[in-house]
Amino acid sequence: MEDKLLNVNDLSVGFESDDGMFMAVRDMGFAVRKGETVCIVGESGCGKSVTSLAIMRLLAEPPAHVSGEVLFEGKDLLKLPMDEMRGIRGNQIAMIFQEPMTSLNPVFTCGFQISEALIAHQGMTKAQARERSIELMRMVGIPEPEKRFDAYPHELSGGMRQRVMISMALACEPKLLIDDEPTTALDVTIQAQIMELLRDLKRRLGMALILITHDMGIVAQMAEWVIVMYAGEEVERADVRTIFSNPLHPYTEGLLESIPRLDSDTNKELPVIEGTVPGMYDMPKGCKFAPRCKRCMERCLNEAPPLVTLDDGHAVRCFLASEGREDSDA
Amino acid sequence: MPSTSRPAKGEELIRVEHLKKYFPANKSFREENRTYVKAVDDVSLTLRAGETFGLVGESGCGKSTLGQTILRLEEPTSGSIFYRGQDITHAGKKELRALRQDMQLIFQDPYSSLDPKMTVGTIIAEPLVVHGMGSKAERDARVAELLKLVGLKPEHAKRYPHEFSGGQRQRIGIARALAVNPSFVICDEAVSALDVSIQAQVLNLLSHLQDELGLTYLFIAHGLSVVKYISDRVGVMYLGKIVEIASSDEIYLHSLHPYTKALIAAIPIPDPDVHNDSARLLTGDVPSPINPPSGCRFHTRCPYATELCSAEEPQLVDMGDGHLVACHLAGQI
Repeated sequence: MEDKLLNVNDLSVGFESDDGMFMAVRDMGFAVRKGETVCIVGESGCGKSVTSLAIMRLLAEPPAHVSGEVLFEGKDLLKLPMDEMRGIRGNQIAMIFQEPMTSLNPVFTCGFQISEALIAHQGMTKAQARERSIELMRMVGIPEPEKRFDAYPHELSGGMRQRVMISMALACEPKLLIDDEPTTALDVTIQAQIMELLRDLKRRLGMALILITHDMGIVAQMAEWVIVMYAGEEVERADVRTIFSNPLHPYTEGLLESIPRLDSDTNKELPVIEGTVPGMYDMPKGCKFAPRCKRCMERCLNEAPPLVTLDDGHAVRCFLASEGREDSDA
Repeated sequence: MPSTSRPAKGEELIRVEHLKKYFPANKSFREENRTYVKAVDDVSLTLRAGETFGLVGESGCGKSTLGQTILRLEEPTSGSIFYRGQDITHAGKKELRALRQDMQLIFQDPYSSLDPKMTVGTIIAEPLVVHGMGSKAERDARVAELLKLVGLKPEHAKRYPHEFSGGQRQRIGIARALAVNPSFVICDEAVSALDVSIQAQVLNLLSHLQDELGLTYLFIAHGLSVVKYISDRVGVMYLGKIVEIASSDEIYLHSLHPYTKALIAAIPIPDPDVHNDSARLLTGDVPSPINPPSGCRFHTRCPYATELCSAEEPQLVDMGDGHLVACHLAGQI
């Protein structure tokens, strides 16, 4: 379709290990439209970061084995030669990494690290890049950007460092910004500031956003589309309202129930998803979620459910949802 | 020495009076040139047996230091700490060791707080060995009992920490803390590093254990929703000071301090149709604790600050029903 900026089809990522191939991501498929925010949710180890790294082609191959298609404006990124990919990465697709504390190079000034992209991709001179960098730093809300330009990362607080990361990513006004847990390392008040900033930038620059998070609160506040991942697979995909009002996969339901809310009854026990995410070598044969599922049936243990798309694009990987739900306890 | 009986529910367990902990920020020879990080600055607090007191605040506000100073893992700069009415501020080494049988700590990071070279059984039995409790066979039996208590299996005692997931490791940390049968446990960001579904499991486990063993918790965290869920009372810290204390429902429904209000407003609401009030977002960063703002420490970021706020420091005032707040404008905003 015309308005689709990014189209991911059958993306799989495997890693070689001594005990054979371990599949971190299996058959991911989703699309991001211009100016849209897509949130990828899931617990640690579910493959959400690997997905974003694969899109950016930042995984070393081998040990990684990436297959499938990542169409960005019709071009398959996975087939591009590396130098062409370098021209897109940081320029048209940019990424903000999880840890602002460790993702900046400690031996270069913040200003230098922002200018780098401008000099490399836009052919600016050092002086032009400095001016533009200061402008960017002001835009993301760094006070006294002229002074901060020459500051080293250790001289800034976590929130400020994350802002430096964001201004680096925005330097070339990318069409797509991938955010890997941009605020998990930050305090709530700073997190709220960064989220507000991202929303504002999205509005002004019209960029699309892939936001990777495990915080359903952030999802509700930011997303238009939501992809829920579990053990390397998409288990549910829908627009944000549907995910919250009519979650069909038991895992999504569990995720939503287990967040302690400010308005929840503190005397009641928090609903939990029992058990833990299966290890990489003891993946269940059938549905990956079956061992933890409240509604697990005989069939789920032996047969892996396919991802079935229902009406209005709501897709679910669960026999119960795709073949008429026998609600026993609802 | 701690008395051997278990504290009765509602009995005063910990009392902290005007506690200060300053860390030197430079080593100037002349006293007047020295600067200090005022991590904990004049905090008074009472914990009653059987309750959970939640302590929230942003990183660097001194909440962990307060916990560690109560356990005397950090020496207080001034002020006093009482445990069951007994002054332990200057308790000697021997006395402290006996006291620590009653007070334990659960750490934040389940990955770095367990020795990778020790088996789980050895890790959990270590406090028993330190305190000279039981014979080898008795300790093994206790380890098995503890593992069952926290939802693991007795045969896990022979395994090493790397064989467990984050949530399971946190359960091991909890079992270790409970080994010596303490009455007071400090949970320092005990669930912050865990995934939501696992976090809920550990929170439920902590409250079960409290009911079963009559524990008192000081629950330190930066997430207000988690703290509210587990706590009976909540204290909010900002730059080394407690700015508000109230019951957990009260703090959510009728918070009086503008900082508490801002913390609540900043939590992303898990409902796509209700939007966070961006007008109430705080701007700027937390100021440096080396040279905190004059008067009310929050006045530099407070949307309601008046001249009085920068001149005079507000004291914690009881607004009724044990709802304490340190704000000149309390009740007016």
